[in-house]
Amino acid sequence: MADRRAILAGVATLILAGIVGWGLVVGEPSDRDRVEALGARIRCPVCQGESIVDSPTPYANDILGFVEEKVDEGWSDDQILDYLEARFEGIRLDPRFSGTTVLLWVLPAGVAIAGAWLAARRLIRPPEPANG
Amino acid sequence: MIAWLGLGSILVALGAAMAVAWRGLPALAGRGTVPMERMKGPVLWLLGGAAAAMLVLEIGLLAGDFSIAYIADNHRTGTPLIFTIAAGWAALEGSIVLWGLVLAAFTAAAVRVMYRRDHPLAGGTLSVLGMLAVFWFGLMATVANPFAVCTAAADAAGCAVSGWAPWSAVDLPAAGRGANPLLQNHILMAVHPPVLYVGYVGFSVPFAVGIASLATVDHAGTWLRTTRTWTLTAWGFLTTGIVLGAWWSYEVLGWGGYWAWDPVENASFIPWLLATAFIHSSVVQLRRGVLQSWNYVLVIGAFAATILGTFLTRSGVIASVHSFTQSSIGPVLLAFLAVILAGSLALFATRIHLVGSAPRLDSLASREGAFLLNNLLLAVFAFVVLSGTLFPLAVEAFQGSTVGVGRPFFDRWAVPLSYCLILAMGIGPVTPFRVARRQVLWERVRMPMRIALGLAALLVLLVSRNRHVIVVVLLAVFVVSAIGRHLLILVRKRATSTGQGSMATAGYLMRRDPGYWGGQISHIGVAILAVGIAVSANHAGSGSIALSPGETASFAGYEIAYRAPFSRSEPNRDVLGVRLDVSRDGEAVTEMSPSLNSYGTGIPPVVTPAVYSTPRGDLYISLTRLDSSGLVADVWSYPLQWMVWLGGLVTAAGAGFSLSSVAGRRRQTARAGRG
Repeated sequence: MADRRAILAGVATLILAGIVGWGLVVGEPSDRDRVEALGARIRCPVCQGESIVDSPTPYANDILGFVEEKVDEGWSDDQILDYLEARFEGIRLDPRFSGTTVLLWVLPAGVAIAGAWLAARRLIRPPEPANG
Repeated sequence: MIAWLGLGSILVALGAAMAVAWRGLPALAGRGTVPMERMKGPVLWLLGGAAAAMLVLEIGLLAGDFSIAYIADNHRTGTPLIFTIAAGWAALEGSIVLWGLVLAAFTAAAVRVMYRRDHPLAGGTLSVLGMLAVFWFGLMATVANPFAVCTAAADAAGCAVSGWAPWSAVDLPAAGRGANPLLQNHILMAVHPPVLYVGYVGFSVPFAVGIASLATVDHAGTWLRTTRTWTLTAWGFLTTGIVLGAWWSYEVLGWGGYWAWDPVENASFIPWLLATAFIHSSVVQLRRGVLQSWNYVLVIGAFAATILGTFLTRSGVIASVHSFTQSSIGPVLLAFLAVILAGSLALFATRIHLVGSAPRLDSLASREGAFLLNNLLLAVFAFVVLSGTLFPLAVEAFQGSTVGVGRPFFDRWAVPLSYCLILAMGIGPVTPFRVARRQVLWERVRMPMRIALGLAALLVLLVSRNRHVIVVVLLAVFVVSAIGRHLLILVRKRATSTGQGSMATAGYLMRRDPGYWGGQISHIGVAILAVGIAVSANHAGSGSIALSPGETASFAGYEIAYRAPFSRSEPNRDVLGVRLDVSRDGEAVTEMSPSLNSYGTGIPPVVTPAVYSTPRGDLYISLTRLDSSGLVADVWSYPLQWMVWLGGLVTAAGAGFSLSSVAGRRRQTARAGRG
């Protein structure tokens, strides 16, 4: 009896997990369309750290309009970003993976790994009795 | 008169701070304890001087004394009372006065509360607090004198040149310039800075106790028990301050968001992350005796982060609404930060061999293991925010080129880190200390996991198939139901034996272990916050509407109709706005009045958005243009936006619960002791 209930519960859990997993697989990453997702990655050149999506200035709206135009023309994300970056230095809000900016992506990962390694070494009792 | 009284108060406080630092020094140097009687006098003078300085500044503002440069530059005749008072901290020098006052109040509270009986760390703590006060009041007495006299008035309004000395010849400005319009556009601006300051400055106390503990080599972890109340207080205020700041940004700035990973926001978030890590890791040390040196690193880091934040926001290296004006105090603050870091880390290095030796953990699969994971994640999070904030500065300084680091970068790290943190938040609190046996853990997470899967499956089938929303709802429901299950089982066990009602039993159980349950309240707050952030961000709608008089536009299920423009003159501003009738499914639901507020000629008007909040979510309208031909506005819809504010405040309330229960119990014990 108890076994049957446990099995039923297990099956129900699996079904629920299946539905959630299906949702995750078919789910769209975001409702925002490509223009807005791209715009969020582009810095408004005349503002202070705002993206062209966030900024209400006409200049930002012009660039957003340009992005929209190029998306409609079928340019890829990278093409658009490269085009803009060639004209405005540092216009990307997520620096590309090259040169000094590699540090930005590698350092935190390094800190995480070093921290985990240090904690495991210094804080956890080794499985066999340590000699000293 | 104001100049003399003000500078005099600052000098009194400076002198008193020197006395506090000096008299506590023997204790800090490890030469015995210092009787508290000797500290009380100078601490009272410090508090008196600091309070007098703030009071004199406020009197000057209320009286409109434009002979003081700060008042001429930040006040204008006709400003409403609340913003006149708030002008006392709305700009650089005034904000330092408030900072000094909060620090003095914390120092006095340390004497009064922490050390009623002579505590081994008392003298050293007060000496460190005294040194910090010497710095801040020294700053006010020299390069950032809030009572500097206007020696040459500016042409139209405000002060062009000011002189430090009260006896300088005054050139009285004809009128005041008024505070930054953004800072007098909403009532939250009067509240947000003081709350945040209590949070920032509050970390001075744990830092001071930590330094005193390092200096006097306190093995027993006494310092952690002593700092707990102070850390929780500061953390609660910092959390509230950050939430209020985000709310202000949402209600006032009109850009349709509440968090932009702006350097100033980051500056408040870094100490928050480190302090959160400290609150957790101190539990591990108190329970298991490990992480002794790590706790020192965290408390020094959290305090240094508050100074770094002050430097970033007040020195003008980063242009933002918070940076006020370019000023000469930047290098001074940077030097202060360097001294703090070098001094405390040097002290730490000389003591580490005395601290380090600790027992080891038996297993990673334990409460301690979850705490370790939490600390690792929070530390990496803080590191990401720190490097993303400083990187553009470093590149500009060393390479002369511009690199933008913004939301996409931070989000890419923050989202997965937050997922892991919330997961740890669900499993950690129900994991036993020492070693968690697999069956025990499974027993405790099975039911919450099923509830979470069930709700997430409903969500997928009926409401949303956005990946972020699914993941966050899954995790958040898991956290809340794990906490609920734990409380339910404890209540059931106790209620059957005592026969009391379950509500009363739950209240009793929670008050009996305020540290744990306060923490769980905060965890529920974070879960609510996470759902609010994920839903409002991923199901947001945005658009732009252009309306001529009489026209109607539809957006996100609402009909927005142009009714009539309006304008009115208030003492400090001219409001130009438009009344919009908003209806849903043919039924009028509300009237919204977005506006453009002008604070004097020559200053671009401030866009003031209109927000209509319902349990379903917010409709947010922000004007970009308004003239006789009609209006152009940006519109947003944010479902479940209220969960962001509620979650943030519940998170802070957890600290309040812990503190009030501890205080209540202490009072009870005191009464019982007397009786």
